[in-house]
Amino acid sequence: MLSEEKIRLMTKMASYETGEGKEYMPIKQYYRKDYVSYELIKTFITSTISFGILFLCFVIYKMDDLADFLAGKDLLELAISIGIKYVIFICIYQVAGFFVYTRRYKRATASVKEFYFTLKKVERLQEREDWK
Amino acid sequence: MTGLLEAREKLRIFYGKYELYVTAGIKFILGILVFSLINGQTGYMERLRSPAVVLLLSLVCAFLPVNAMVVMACGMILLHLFALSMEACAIGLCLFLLLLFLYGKFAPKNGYTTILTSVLCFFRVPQVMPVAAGMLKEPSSYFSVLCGAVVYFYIRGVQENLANFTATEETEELAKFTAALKIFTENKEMYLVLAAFFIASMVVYLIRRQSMNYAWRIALFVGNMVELVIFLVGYILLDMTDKILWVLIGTLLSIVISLVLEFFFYNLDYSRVERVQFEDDEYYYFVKAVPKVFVARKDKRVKQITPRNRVSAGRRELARELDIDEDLLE
Repeated sequence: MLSEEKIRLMTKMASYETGEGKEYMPIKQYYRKDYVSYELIKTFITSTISFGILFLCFVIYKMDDLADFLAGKDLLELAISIGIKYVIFICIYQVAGFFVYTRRYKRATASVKEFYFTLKKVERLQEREDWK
Repeated sequence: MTGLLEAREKLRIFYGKYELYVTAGIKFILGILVFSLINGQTGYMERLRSPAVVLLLSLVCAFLPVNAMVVMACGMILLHLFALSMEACAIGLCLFLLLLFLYGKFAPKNGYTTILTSVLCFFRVPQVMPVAAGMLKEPSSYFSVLCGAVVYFYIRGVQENLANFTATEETEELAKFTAALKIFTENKEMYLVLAAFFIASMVVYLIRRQSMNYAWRIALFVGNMVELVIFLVGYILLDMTDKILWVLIGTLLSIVISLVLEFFFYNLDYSRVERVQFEDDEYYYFVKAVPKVFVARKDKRVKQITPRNRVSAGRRELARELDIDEDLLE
């Protein structure tokens, strides 16, 4: 016999899995530390590429006066100065990334918790049906 | 007012019932608008200018997430720029990659905001976007408005400097790159617009978060006024007074649309405010509860009292039924 309560709960779960769950369930496959670290590595790569693009654009923009720009400058000092800017840039993005992904993980935890709560309810209903 | 509230409820119910079709329809129309605008503004590649391409892309976008439209629009812009000049295309690609890596990666759900900002910029009335974003979204989303504006200024910059990109000498390659980069570095109007948008969004956000009465309405008016003042002062200082008329039109439109948004998303009844106080072990709570204005949908039911198949009887039959004289029934 059809259990209306079970159908209602399972529909709710299916709707979650195709909607909000699609975003949050993959996140909950990881521990918080692993997820945040993984995302921060990706952020490091993308921010390095971004810095590269910005640096390249700067060089192209200054190409006409590059000789004047470099004249009389210590190349090692210049490289260190660029390196410092790169480290600051990366640090800013790592800190931003840490906050964004930690918050996202917390949201995913709260959201998936509700899903598992419904799942437990369905399991209990199933067990009750089996005893009958 | 009651009529408007009823209409709002009907609209909500309609959207809930046909959400799939309504969303697809909106995306399709937006797609046509976006791709036609790109073709109109940057139509350097003849093959892409066909209406069939616009229709096909819009149809595909109607059934995909809105970010797919963003990607396709970027691809289309790059193809057009490639047909014009490889250098403009390369800088365009760098721009899109930077926007994706530095912002899009962290807040991927702002496709509509970015696209609508660019579209409204082309119609010269983008003032509503920062105010709307301030009302409906969190501060992390405000950068998407800025992204839309930056893309618009790049496309417009290429258009205004066409001569720089169409030179055929090989020695001009570096000059083309520099010209493309100067669109960003020497465009003071762009910085003015970005600053105005960001400040307006933040002002709206900070005011609407207050617990005072009519917070959203105050926020939208103050936000629009702040934006208007920044634009007016900025354009006067930049000696671009011809744009002031469009700023005024845009601000008026922004106020109207913001009021509509407020009506749909934040319609509260301040005449029935309730204030309660209570405590637990750790805190003392001062709560202000404002009820939402809500009108129940009129459920019209027609109750048939008389029998459905009414048999018409003549005077003679009726008199015979009642056992009286037929003349008495005149």
